[in-house]
Amino acid sequence: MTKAASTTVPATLAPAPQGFVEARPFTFDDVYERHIDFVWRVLRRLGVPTRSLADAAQDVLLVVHRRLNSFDGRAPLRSWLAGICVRVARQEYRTRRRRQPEMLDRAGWIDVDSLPDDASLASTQAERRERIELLYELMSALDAPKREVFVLAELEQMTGPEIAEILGAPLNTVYSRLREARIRFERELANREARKVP
Amino acid sequence: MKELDSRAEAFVREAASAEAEFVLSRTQRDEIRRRFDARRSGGAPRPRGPMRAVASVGAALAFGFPAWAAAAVGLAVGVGTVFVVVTREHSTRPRDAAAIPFAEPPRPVDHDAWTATPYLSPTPAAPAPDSSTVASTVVEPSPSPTPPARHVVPAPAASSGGSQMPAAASAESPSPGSGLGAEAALLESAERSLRDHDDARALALLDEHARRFPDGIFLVEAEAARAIATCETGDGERGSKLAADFARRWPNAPVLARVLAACGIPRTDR
Repeated sequence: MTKAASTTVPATLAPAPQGFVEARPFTFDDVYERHIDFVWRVLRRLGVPTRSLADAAQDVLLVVHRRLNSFDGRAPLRSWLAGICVRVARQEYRTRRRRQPEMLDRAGWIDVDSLPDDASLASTQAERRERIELLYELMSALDAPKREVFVLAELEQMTGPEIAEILGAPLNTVYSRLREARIRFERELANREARKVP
Repeated sequence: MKELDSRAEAFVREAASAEAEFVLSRTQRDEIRRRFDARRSGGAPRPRGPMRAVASVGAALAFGFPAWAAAAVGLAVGVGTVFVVVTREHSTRPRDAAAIPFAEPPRPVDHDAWTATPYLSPTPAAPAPDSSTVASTVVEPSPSPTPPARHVVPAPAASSGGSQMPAAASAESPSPGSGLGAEAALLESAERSLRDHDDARALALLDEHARRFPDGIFLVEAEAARAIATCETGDGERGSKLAADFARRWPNAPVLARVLAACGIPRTDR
């Protein structure tokens, strides 16, 4: 294809035309107000350590701010945001692996051993807390690609095609990772429960 | 397609539902936004007034959160929020995340000296955004299992961070200086050149992107732009190869259709 034959710029790559931003149904402020909790939650579920969440969220916001004009609205906004979160979480993981490899045990991004005992909790509260801790511990047994699809599918309730678009990956790859993630998760859960039996 | 077995599915549903109850307080949301605005304007976020002790929510969340929070999301659980205040010399027991005591002067971070003190802190839900300021078209159904009753993310301790937090944070995680802004600017320059049909310059900028940010956040966009720019230069053979490579690598990328169209490649089933 020659240059002359292509006179238009792909919408998803080009800055929005004049006036386009104002015509959009949302602004950066809207996105922030309505979705910062979603961003925060997805980042932490993807395994960004608590101490890094604030910086990771800042990076997501920067990308949103710079690229909101290129969001074409064909996918749900949450999918677009989740895709940014995945990329930022991967960057954070790479940085941590490079700078602090000793902090990575298995694929674990979470230091569950540092959780304190708290005898003052009511039993129901303790159970809920244990459940959350266990969820994160089990997810830490998944490598990053499997954790991504597991979080998006099982925790964020996204469909296979949605996840494929978020990751840009083949649908079969998504399903394959999800299948392996579920098997691994079930096995880890069963092992934990077996260890609890006296 | 294999689904989770019923036991695991029930476990995930309950745990995720409980975990999703923890959201940011209004104070935390405002501080994150303030920090972002400061970054965007080119200035480092500066501690303000009573916020000095934490320097910023970002830094506070980065370090004020206790060690155990690194595990389960800095969450405490239950009807009352259990949270661990990690302090070096004292602990606090805020009852409301919006009332975090920020008045303590900054102190250097000393991880070894930290001690963890749990406390119960029932926290109110963060106020909903003012619907009058948000277009109704923004509203999307939430796919998450967030229950109606919400808690805020436990407040960070005000005493464990200090003026050295930002520096320490940048040593451990991507920071404002990590180059994301530079990467975005580089990609935008390339896209601008593409829009102006200065394909040679676009490709030069994309080469620079590949050199400086081989694993960059905008890798997909950069490679898409490279294929498009190459096709637009008239190098159809190379452009088609780049487009085909892109399609193999990211067959579900939303931008793929644009790449294929620019290179005159008919789209086939993925």
